[in-house]
Amino acid sequence: MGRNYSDDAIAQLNFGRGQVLRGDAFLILTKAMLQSGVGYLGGYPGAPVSGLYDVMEDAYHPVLESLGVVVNASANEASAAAMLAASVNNPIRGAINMKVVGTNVAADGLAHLSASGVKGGVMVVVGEDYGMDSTAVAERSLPYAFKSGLVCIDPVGDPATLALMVEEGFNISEYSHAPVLYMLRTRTGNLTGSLTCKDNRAPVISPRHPVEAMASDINFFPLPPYAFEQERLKFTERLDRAREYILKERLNRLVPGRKPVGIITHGLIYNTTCRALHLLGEAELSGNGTCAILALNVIHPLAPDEIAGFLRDKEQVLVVEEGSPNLLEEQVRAIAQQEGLSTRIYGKDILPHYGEYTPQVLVPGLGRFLAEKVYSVPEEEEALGRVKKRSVAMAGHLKKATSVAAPLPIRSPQFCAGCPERPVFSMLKLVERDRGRPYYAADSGCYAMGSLPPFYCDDSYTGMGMGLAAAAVASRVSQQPVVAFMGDGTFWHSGMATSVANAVYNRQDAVLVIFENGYTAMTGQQENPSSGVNLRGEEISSDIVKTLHSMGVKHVEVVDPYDVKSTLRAYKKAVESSEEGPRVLVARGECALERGRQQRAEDHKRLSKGKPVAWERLGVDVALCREDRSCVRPNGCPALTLDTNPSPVREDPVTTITAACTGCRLCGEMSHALALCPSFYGVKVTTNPRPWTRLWHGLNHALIHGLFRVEV
Amino acid sequence: MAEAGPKIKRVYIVAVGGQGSAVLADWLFNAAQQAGYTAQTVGLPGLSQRGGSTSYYMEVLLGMEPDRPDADDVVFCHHPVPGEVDIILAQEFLELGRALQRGFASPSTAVIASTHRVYSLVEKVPASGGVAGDEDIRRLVAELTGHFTGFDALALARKNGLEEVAVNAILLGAVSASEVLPIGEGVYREAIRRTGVAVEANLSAFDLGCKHVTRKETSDDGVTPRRRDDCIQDLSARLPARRRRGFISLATSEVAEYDPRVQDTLVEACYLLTDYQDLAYAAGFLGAVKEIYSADSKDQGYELSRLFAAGLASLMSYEDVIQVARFKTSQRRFAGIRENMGIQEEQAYGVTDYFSPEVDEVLSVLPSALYRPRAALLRWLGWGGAVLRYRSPTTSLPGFLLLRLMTGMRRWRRRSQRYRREAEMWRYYQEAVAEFVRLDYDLGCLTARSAQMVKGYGAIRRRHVEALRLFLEEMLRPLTDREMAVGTGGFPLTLRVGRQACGLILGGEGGLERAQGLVAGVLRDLHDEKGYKAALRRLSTTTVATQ
Repeated sequence: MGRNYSDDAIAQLNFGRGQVLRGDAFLILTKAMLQSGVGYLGGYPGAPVSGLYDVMEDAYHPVLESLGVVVNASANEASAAAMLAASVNNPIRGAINMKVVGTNVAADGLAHLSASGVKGGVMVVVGEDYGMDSTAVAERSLPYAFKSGLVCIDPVGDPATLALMVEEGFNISEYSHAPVLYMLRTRTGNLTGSLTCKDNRAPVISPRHPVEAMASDINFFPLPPYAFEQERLKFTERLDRAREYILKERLNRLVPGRKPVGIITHGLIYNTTCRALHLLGEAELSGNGTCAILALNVIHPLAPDEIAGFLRDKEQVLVVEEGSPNLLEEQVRAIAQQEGLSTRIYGKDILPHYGEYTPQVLVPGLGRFLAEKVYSVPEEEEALGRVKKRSVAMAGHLKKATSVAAPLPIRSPQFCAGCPERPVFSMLKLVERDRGRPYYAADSGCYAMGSLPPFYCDDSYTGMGMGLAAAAVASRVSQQPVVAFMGDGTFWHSGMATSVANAVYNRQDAVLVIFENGYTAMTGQQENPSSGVNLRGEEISSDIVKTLHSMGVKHVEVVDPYDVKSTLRAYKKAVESSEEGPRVLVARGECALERGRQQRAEDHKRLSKGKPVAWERLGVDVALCREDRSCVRPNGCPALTLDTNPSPVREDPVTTITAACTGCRLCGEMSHALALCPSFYGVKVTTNPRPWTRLWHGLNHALIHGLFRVEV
Repeated sequence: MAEAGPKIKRVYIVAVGGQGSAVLADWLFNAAQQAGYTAQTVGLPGLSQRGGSTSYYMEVLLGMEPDRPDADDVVFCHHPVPGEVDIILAQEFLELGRALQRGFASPSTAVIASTHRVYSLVEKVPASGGVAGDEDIRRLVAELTGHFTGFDALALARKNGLEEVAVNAILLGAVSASEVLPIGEGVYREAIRRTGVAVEANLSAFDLGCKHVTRKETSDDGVTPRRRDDCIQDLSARLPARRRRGFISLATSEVAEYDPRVQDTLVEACYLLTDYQDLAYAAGFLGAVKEIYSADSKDQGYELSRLFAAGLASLMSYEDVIQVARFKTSQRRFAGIRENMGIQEEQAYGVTDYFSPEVDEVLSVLPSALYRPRAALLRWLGWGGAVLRYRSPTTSLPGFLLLRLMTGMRRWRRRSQRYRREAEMWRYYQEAVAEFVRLDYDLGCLTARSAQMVKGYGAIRRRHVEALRLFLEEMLRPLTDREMAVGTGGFPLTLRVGRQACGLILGGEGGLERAQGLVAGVLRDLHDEKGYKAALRRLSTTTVATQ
């Protein structure tokens, strides 16, 4: 499920020395892990690293199982972090993945793990997403490395470096005994390139080569008094050894420059910096040019010798560090001060404190640095002129581009055609008409799109599994009913404890809608305990309704979300219920994307055997549509869209339904519920109909034709 | 900006999520690699399956063998840079416009785009307007790009019986044929084969794209307007035989008295109304148009008459239950459904219609004398606004029969209660147009166009009709009165405020209230000439969505 890698793509993970793998960064990273002899993998899906989870899943049977790699689909990021405990006293390498906000869920585990330290190399791949391409919060994971004494890798964005840093990451973790955070940025994760492979290494401890008993050592038990010694190890020995390794293996990249001017940068920002310098006429496409560049692949710890060495022969150095807090810049300044260097150091005084460092930021930013701090003497007038001109050229260009026409409409994400979550929001909009707007507590998952147009069900959004808990005060102080949303994935992730147990315990007056679509759908239909199977394909019998009952929820009702009328009735009943504590509606409907995929495969099979296959779709009689779009506003389905008006006397476009329609009937249901119009119709088509179906249709059609001369 | 442009080709693909653009990006990457170039693609699928915007950015290193040791030295960039993109490949037209507004193109950029539109949600939500204009996107193309190859790849795909996702392979074909990358046609084909997604369909789509560009069909196919006589013949053929001759004579001799610029609309309207009721009904319509036409002027291109004719015809062809039932059981409808849904002869199919008329909507097709006591009874029972929700199995005999019974009421339509109400409304509309055009031509046009405000069915339609009345009575009228009193000639203020109000009313829920607020605010300032001038100045600097 999820993003399915082709068999050919996955087979590349078995490639040996010298073979060239082509694929995305997730395949490349997984390959590098196998080359490093990784023993176990785990994680919780979240953009931009959900691809890693998908590779892990798709590769389990064909590659990982036979190599002896243990794979767990972790229940949440904390479970994933806890897995790493295996490496504390045992020489087994492990890697887990999670999105940046997941580190906050995993924080407790990571804190304990970093106290103990590890024997086997340990890597936490974190989806760093400072540009918020797929994350609601802009935050760096670097501060975790600081406070927990982790090694933090932020690789330069090319396939070879990505792979090398995985391998070196395990090495440095083992050498220093510190766990490693490996940042995979959105634009690095979604990169497609090629990698020259090495042979895979089977893990030393595995189900194929099990140990008699796990090694154990009380000295690494993270509790006082042992923890006092661990704290010393963490901040002195382990980080020192890491520094030693960084220098020894030259993990950071140094590009020489023609002038005594330097730039210190990190990870993907190095790629953008090189291109910005190139565009300013200061460097070749390789980054070689006026300024020397120190591109850090390891951003924690810094090796003071390396930094001081770089600073020593420079007059000016700019630290190009994306995001806040600017921990790299402050360390560079501290190192310069300790070493008594007079190099002028710049950073956030020239570049912005926040936001992704895109070329739009770095071209003018680096231009300003060069123009104001570097080229200031008359003999460099030509260079100065060029840099000044080019650094403002982009702004001029952008201004021109925006001045041609009024801003065009945006395209926000929306529920897929046939999504079982949409009807619930449509239903809520229906209720709002008579009863006013409730307090809506959103949560993480597809249904968070209910906060976007056309629904705007969005009063709070606090983090995964916390929606209902976030409305704890609203439930007590507001006269509005409180309605919270939660998906099945989120329920099993943390919602059942954080929100449901909390609500039961505190007798919170609220309605909780649990969307049970069977998958962790937002990140690509990964399995969760509601799917009935796990990542390995083994059957699971977790049940949300039973869980709710046993947790003490008295009012639980399962509804079919496509049946708007019954859902509405159940919702009203839940709101009006005199039952203390939360009332839960479980809206059960399988993810439409996944259902569609399975349906297509199944239909294909049946058709080839000549068996009956029926499909349904809705349509609009555009000749009857009177263009008021009242059907679009409480619906927003991508298949429900506009078309040119066929009437020569009407101007505005009509509504129509495209072939993307899955036949969920919401349009018709809403048309009925809101008494909209007679334009909607449903069509049911059967291929290879059974004889009696054929006869029934044939008879009706013949009678209609005979009586009215109309061929239906 | 950069002189090293020739060394790296930078390709930016913009698309709508869930429409197969990832495969397009894969093909291009594989083709570049198979052609022997080092390449890198960065995708921002984001929430791609959820219909949001999505983009891919590819850099191809040219003039350097991949196995040369310094090939690795080139640092690829993961972001497209404004003004520094060589090729923009747009799978949809709005996405192209947005990429251009973000400055990615320069005069040296080659743009290959499908000009079809996938409407974004924010475009669909307002009751009217809201849709990004093609003209805006075309202006961006004209002003910001160098070479533009744009055609409706979706229409091309459909014309050739391909699925919507074929747009991607058609675009790849266009890339190949326009030779913007030094990659041979065979290599692209091989990439399609190797990727292994719907290979046969995609190869034929690829050919379509190739051919389309090679034949220099770089702009949309123009549609040659049909001759009016042909049009009349076609329309008459759709009428029952006994009405054909009458319609032809109406549409040729009567309509000939009008300026050619109005004739098309009149022909279409006459057909519409003949089909809706009868020839006399269409003739009555022409009579009403004639009155307005006589007040119209050639210098203005007879815009008023055209707008009024369209408005009146649309009001006169109101969708009562008779009309709905008639359409729902028409031959034309079922043929259309079978064609749109691609239903084959050997398949069994059934249609279910969703009806939800108000009781009053059904009753009002009765003659007034029969309607009144029944309506009174219903009101007394408290069912005045009751809705009849009915799922009609229209392709089965009972369902069909019930609807057919309704259509039988058509011959008494002009005696019905509904007709009286509607006729009263369009007479009011006609008077308003006549009245406002006496004041000012543009004001007359605005009034004539306001008939488009009447939308929807049942309660929604009532709201819209009421909005039209309020627009004319409580917005246009007081505004013109005040502007005549304190203005400096003409009605620039009324026109501007009127258009804005019209836009607001149609902009969705709460629009009428916002329009009323706008007008009330303006009226407050119109106490003297000074206030008038200030209001005029203020309005010319604010931009509110208008029609």
